[in-house]
Amino acid sequence: MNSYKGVLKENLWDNNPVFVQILGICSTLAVTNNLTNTFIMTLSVVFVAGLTNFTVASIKHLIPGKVRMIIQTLIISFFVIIVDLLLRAFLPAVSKSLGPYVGLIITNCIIMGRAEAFAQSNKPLISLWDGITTGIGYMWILMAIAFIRELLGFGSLFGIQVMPEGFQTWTIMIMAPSAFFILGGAIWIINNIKLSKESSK
Amino acid sequence: MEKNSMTYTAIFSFVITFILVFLLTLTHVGTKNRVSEYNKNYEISSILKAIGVEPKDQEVQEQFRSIFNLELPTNETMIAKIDGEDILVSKFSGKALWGTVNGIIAIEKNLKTIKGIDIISHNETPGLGGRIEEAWFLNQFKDETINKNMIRVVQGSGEGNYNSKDGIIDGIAGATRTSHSMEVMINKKIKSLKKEVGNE
Repeated sequence: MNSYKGVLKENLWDNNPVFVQILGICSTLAVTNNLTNTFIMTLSVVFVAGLTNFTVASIKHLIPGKVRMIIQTLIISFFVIIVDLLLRAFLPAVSKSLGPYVGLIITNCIIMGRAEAFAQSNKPLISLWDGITTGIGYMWILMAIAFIRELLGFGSLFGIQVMPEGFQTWTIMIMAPSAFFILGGAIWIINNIKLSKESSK
Repeated sequence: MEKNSMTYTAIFSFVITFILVFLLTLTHVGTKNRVSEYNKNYEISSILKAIGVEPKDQEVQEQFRSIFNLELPTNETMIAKIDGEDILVSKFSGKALWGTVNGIIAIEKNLKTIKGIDIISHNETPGLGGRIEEAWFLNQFKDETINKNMIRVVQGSGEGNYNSKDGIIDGIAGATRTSHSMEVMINKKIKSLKKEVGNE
């Protein structure tokens, strides 16, 4: 019933976690003022979402229904702490600038949502795929927001100066509220595209 | 065993927690040395930058040893020998807008001139108060004269104040509180160093 291609399309566009389900907004506002951080952060989400889904789907028959949610949280926390430890050891500079946000992946509703909605009722491999594609669905929209914010807020992309000397940077782009405006604009545009597609059918 | 029974739930919860925590411990132990090594080197690089020495990636510990005649940084005031001159190097910290700022300050022994400062850690807003760690801000402190036992961080022209005679630092636009906190914590440090040196 769930084909790999269907899951991919669903998570990247039709049912995108950020602009359709409006999940994970807190991190969308917090980490998107710089492309490098956003990339590492969303990559961590891909990793955590994929492996959490895989683990939950693998042991779902063993999990008692009563403590299902708390076990999911436990598994999510486990993978998040692993990511945090690895970042600290191997990418200390990135870990420093992400600060507490890596730890906050635990509370990212997207991951919990996929574990409960998908992994609990599907086989391990397709659940892994679902987690990964959900993560990528989250990644691409955050990267798009970060692209705009870093370009206008710092005049750079991935930390490399691209705007000409003397470019007046937009302070608002560095602050969290700008992500609200950009995300709002993105949802508006995407909904318009979807509507016009439907009406032309 | 009945899957929803109390006993099964308890045993299952215990076992899965045990396995996951065990794996975490392994990862932590495996990366511990790397992390503490990095933190140590980061602090040493900060100290070197404060006294105006460019840290070289793999050799910061040797650089530190040869300048300070110490194995590792201590929490007390350290003395660096540069060109035969004694420089006092000390950690400073203080509250800023969001949290504590930790840094290193290097001052000439007569407490008349700041050699330089560097920031080890802070929690200020990226792009605003967070700019205290950027070179343009820190470089303003290089060889800055201390006027009447203090420096001032003020609203300037926006270009940075690199006049080292006036004891004035250009603050950060949009980060007034952070800029002011920097002034307060550095002046406090100058005062306490004065006490320390005076008692010798």
